[in-house]
Amino acid sequence: MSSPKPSRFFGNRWKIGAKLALGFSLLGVLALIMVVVGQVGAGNIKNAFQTAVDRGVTIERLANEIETQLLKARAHEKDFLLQWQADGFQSTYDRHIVPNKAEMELLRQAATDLATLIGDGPTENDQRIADDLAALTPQIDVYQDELRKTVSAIQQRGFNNTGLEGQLGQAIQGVEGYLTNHPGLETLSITLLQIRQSEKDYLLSGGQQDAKNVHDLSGQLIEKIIDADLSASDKSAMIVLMKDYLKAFDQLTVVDAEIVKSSELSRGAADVFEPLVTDIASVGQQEAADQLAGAQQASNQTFVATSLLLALGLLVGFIMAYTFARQIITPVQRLAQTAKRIEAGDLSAQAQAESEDEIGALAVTFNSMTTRLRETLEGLEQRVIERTRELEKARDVAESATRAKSLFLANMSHELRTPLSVMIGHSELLQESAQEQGYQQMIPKLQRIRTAGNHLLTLISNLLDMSKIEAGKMEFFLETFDIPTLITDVAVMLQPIMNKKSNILELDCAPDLGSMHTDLTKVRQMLFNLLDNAAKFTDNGIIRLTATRENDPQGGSQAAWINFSISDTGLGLTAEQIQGLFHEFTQADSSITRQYGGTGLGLALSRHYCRMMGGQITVDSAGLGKGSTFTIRLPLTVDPIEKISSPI
Amino acid sequence: MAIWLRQSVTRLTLIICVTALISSCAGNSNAPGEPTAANWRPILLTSSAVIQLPDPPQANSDAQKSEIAELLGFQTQRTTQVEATIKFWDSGGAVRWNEIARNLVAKHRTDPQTASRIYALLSVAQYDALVAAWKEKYTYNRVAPEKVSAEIKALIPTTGDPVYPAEHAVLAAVSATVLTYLYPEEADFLAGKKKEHEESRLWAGVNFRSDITAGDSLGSQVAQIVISYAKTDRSDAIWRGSVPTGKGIWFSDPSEPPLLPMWGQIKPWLMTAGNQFRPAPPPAFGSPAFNAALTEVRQISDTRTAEQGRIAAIWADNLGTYTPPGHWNAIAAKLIQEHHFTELRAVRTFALLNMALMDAGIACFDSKYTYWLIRPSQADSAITTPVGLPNFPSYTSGHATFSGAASEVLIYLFPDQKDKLQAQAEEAALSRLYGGIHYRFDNAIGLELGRAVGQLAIKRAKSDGSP
Repeated sequence: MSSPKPSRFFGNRWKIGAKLALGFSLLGVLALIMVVVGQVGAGNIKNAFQTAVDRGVTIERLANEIETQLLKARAHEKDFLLQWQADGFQSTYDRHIVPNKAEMELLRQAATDLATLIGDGPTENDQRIADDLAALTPQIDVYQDELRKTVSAIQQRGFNNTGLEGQLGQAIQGVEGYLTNHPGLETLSITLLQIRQSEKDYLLSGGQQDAKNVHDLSGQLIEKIIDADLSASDKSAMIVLMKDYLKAFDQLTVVDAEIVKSSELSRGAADVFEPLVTDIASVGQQEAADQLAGAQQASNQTFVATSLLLALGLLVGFIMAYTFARQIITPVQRLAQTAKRIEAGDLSAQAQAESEDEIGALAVTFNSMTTRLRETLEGLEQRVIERTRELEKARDVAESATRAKSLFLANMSHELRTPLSVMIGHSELLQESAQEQGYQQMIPKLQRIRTAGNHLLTLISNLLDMSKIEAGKMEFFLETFDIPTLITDVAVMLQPIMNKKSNILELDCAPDLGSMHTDLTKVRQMLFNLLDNAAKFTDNGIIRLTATRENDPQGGSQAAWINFSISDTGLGLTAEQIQGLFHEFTQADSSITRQYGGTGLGLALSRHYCRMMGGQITVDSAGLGKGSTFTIRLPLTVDPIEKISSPI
Repeated sequence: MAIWLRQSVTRLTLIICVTALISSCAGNSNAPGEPTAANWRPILLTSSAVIQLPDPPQANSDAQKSEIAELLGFQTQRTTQVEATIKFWDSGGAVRWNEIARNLVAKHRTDPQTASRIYALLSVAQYDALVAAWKEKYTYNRVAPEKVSAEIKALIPTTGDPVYPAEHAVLAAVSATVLTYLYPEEADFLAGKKKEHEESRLWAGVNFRSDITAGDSLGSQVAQIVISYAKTDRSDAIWRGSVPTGKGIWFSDPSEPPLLPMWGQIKPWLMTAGNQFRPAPPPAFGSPAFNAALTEVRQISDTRTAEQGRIAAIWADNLGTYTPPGHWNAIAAKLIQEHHFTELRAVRTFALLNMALMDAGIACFDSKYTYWLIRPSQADSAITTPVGLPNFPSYTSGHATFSGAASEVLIYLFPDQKDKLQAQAEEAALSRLYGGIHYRFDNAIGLELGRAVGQLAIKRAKSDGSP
């Protein structure tokens, strides 16, 4: 066989059981791997989501916290700066600066937490937030520092009747009190008003010129006080008040400058960190989104990994199943094919033992079985051929023997008839001579000789005919003759035989019998034989010859038939006797020959003749003692070539 | 799956690497750290051998035995907090003191130029002190406590360098002394840090008491040499000039004098003088080139994006922060830690960086007070400066000059970081354009000027005897 070898992937030395065990083990391992991968994947997803929740969300929360706290803190700062003059320092401080501090602390805490969380984070977002935070932290310090300075300067400065501004008012009111108590000092009052005007201008605008005006006017006032008509104690008290005023005013200008500078610095710091805080918030959101995307990606990857592994598992499973199937089914299929070939008769077919497993063993057994079968059959055939040859030889021998016998018989019959005819003729002559010469007592004896001679002649004639038939030398002499004439002739010839056993011969001939064209002698001989037989086996009975013509429905003369039926009321025949009735040398009963005489050739000859003429002879009997009926059916015209020359 | 696999492989590789690292650490504890450092060229010291220390206690002497007993005493009393402190200082003595200096600069609102001098003095002092210390280490070759007594279990790995004098005590003493000179009001704080740092080595079981004492002594002596130098670097020179006036000339904030007009004339570390690399004059005020540059600043100011605002803020480095030189020190400190530099490599890095930074500041101020170029926001009052406007002339940008010098030096020392460092320098320079503070040419010429200064540091680095 030239078919491809099955895969040797798992080796052909393995038993099917081992292969299956290996296959299932591999599948088991694969399943285990898939479970592990699934677990790890699930773990990965869980971890990724956990990270996303713990990290991304926390980053976002802290970033938002920083932004929120900054907005709140700055709102409070702004509210404080706007409201402290109207609502008073302390209550405004409590309402805005205290929360501002708390919010900045929360912001700072969130920034610290965020920095800790970010650490040396791997992502670009981490790096960016880290940079933002690094720049942010010192700015928060600056902002808080400067805001604190601003607030403390504001507290020191005061408003209206508090702080330095209050001191200004008190000093001026003191001077005013003196001026009110001492009428006539209008010029001083005017200067004082000018001072207050300049002071107000300064407080409103912070202009340096206004400050200078306050200074200059205060110096003028002090000079005017010195020159004024006042007691020395009043003068010195007023001068002290004016000096207090100037001192407070100078402090106020310094504090105002501080306030301007500090608030500028704190605002500057806030300006620097506001974009950073905004950035942290947006990057924080981005990071949270990225983390979630990362988790999603991890989930997708795990799904892909699991799917791929599953596909791989299926593939491996399929390959394994295919391989095993090939290893198991292919040899089985081959075995089946081989078996089919053997069934079809090709005993040379051999199953291939490709593996050493159970199927391999089966193939080996199968082959040895086939070999044995082939050997047995070959021996048997040989014997049949030998026997056939022997039988053919025997047949040939037998056939030639038969032919020789027939030839011999034919020759012998002829050779026998000639002397017999002489003997019969001479016995007749002797009988006639005895009659004439009055040797009455010799006549019956001569008669007996003549009868015996005739009988012998008939026997020999029959034998001769039989031999001729067997030797294929029987010849027909066709002539046209009248049937009723034939019947009459036969009846006349048989009358003495009928009388011998007191039988009555009845003739029943159809009026339209007409003539027929065939061998007259043979037909007559057949009728004679059958009637003779009937007479022979019937005592005191009736023997009937019925002749009917059977015209062809189409009217053709050639297909028309004549039936001769001879029935008797004699011995009758059994079914078994009918069977062998027409065979040569057979009579209904072997005892018949002794009791009734006869050669046993009559019926056989009759059948031969019938067949040769294209007719047939049949027999029917109702049973023993109930008589029998022989029927000859002959064509009215015998085809000279076809029918007669046809072999027996 | 690919990612899953890669992660797994990465984890596996990581585990293998960590294992290899641990085993290599354990196996390499006898390998010398920097045996050649004794022969490195100091900066201010005439030779690494100028400081001489007394002999350490002899092996098996009573003195050494009592030192061992002291260490065993410390060993039994290590708390989690002590261990955290040990690891804090062990992660990088030079880096930690640099950090302390940066925080002091921020806290005291030190200006960038002054800050650059502080960082330079500290780093040069640290470098010279460690080189001198290594000379002594390899003179005495004293072995580590854990090699003397099997009972002593060091908490942290040691290098194979001899332990006398203790390099961490040298760093602590030289740093604290120099910084105390610069920030006398921080004396107590600095003394506390020094003590904590020095004692962490005893707690860790990696140095004897005599190693610490010797290191402290050596560090203090080197600090004095550096302080003497600092006193003569003309940084305290008083300006007696006046701000010129005219079209295109910078003018001061009415309430403040110009900042450090004499700075271009102080003693540089690497340059021959402040004017060594003085750039060509800026485009003339009113010239098309100048007007184009001014228009660009205005346009950016008008359309400043969030990202531009952020970049300006990230690199604002204004008063109250580390300042630009400090910003670059922070970048260097991170790189030093990421690259697991030895203390010697760390101080060499800081010294080279900070000499270059201070010189860059000098060169920049030489240019500023030579050309007195008007600020963009002074030439066009519609230009806003959200991160503030420093009180000195425009040309060249201090940020750009500092960043050019720093990136040049750091790229030489960390070649694998070239792209990032270059990008950072460019961004720092650009941030001033975004902030409405500088013209583009201020930045471009500043970067060039800084890089020229940086090359001097690289030249020194190539010939300082370090392998």
